[in-house]
Amino acid sequence: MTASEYSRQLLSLTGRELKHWYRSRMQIIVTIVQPLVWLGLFGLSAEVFVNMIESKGGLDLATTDYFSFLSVGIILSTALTTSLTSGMSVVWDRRFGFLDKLRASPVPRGVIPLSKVLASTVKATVQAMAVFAVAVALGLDVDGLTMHGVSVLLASVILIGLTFSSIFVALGTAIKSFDTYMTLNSLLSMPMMFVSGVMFPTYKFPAWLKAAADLNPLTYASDAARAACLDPEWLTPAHGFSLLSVPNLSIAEDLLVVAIGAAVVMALSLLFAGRALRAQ
Amino acid sequence: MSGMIEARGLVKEYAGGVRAVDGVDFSVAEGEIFGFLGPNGAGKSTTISMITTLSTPTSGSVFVDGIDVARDPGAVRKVIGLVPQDLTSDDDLSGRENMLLQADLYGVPRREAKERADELLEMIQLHDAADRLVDTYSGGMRKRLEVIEGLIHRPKVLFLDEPTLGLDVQTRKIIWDHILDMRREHGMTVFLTTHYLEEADFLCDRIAIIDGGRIKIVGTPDELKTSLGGDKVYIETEGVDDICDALSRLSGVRSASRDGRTYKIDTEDGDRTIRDVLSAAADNDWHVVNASLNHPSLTEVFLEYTGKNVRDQMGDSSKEEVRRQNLQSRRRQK
Repeated sequence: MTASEYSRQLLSLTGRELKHWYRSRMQIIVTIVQPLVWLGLFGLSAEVFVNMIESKGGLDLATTDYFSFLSVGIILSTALTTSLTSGMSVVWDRRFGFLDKLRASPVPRGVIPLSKVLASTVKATVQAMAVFAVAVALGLDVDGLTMHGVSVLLASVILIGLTFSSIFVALGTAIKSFDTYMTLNSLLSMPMMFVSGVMFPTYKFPAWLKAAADLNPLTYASDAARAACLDPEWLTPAHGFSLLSVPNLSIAEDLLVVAIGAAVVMALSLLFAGRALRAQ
Repeated sequence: MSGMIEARGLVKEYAGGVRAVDGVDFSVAEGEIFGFLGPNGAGKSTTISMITTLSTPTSGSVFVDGIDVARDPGAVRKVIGLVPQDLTSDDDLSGRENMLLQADLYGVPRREAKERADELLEMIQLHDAADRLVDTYSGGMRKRLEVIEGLIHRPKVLFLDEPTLGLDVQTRKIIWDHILDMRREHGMTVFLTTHYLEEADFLCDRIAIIDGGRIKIVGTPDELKTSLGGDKVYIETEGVDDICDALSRLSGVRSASRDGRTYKIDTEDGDRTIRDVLSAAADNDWHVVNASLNHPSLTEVFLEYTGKNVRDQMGDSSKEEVRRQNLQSRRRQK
């Protein structure tokens, strides 16, 4: 096996996953409707609520524009929720025997989960960018937006996609039923979204919650993306890493943390998934 | 290692101590078509899983093309092709895309892959439907596609698990003709399980009958039939004294017995015995009103060694088919 044969297998399997996605009318509708629901309904209504608190001097966001604050978080949480479904295709493939056909082929075990992680990350990125476009249309503040800001946002989205797709593809190789998978998915998605800096600034969290949020890559990703995308004069509040008393991190440091996290999680997940796909 | 597939003392024990395969030995020569027959749950698919690297034997060993499956499964996967029992083609891809995906996985050069895909799709008459999504295919079309997917990389050994279940006679013949061609041109070895005993009879060079995880008998179809005691000739006479003695003296005849006016003759070669009987009848003025010959069929062999009726088994397997089709339609509603 040469590197070109591996990459051909990888591209072919990734392409298969993406065809499933863009050929499905339902998926395309979801891609468009989901951001509208999140930003149009939740984002705009939450802003009213936050403004009420704000007028009493309660919530200091370091920005007067909660919709913009939330939009950046929603873009990343969209990447998260899309990635959480990545393992479903493993469960389907197993159920319909396709997985065994792959396992009997010379494809290296790691290539099978890797193709699903890559496809899921592409989906997550496209979906997140669709939310971004909708957010801009609905009033995300773009005065201070530069190419640098968009690049940081894109990098954060891709890294979040890789991290969570890997975890859930690995889970998919261990779970044999749809129901178990869906239960686990809904059980984990909410805490992962709320125990992070996606919705609210973490420095307002109680200490234990902040400590937990500091373990979530979404916290660092949304922090970096916000600092890079929103008006630089609205400095994002410090979040640092409370457990080790690390002070506020720069954009580059935030991204580095997310990148290292993604690399470690991917390596462990692929190792686990590859093992699960070996003969028993 | 002389054979293309060598299985030695193969055992697969599942949790709870159930032995799906319980000490199986066999050897398949290069270019041979080897049939695995047995009732449902006899251990056929489990055996295929172990040879095709999908499942690890509890004990025993298998070699494919001289490669130890336990030691180097990756090398084994390059020389084998698997056509599973289930319909596993991807619904959301076209037939051609499914073929080219397989070609990508096995590293078949692209230009060649396209040519072979065209050729194979044409052969099983899926050419017109090649660019439609598999989702729109009928069960028979899916099964045909499934079979050619296993052929696109021209494997040295092809494993076919119930390849023709649910196919019409014409399609079965087309598929078998092609597999015989592949064997002739590329010396492909074929390992198959089937419920169609006539199919196994005319296709297989050798057959193993497996039941309860053990091989009951292995041999050529003729050897298996002979093992049941060979041919039987029946004659019916009118107004003749007992001729049992005379009949049993004919060459090749093992025994002759009488039931009223009907004689039953056990013989090695029924065709020859029936000629001998008729010429003896002419010589001795026996008035024979009826003569018939019975070659034992593979069905009788199957019954003898498994104690189970193939027809019952077919009933079971169509239930399996229904279950599978339900799954497929659930998938389509997704």
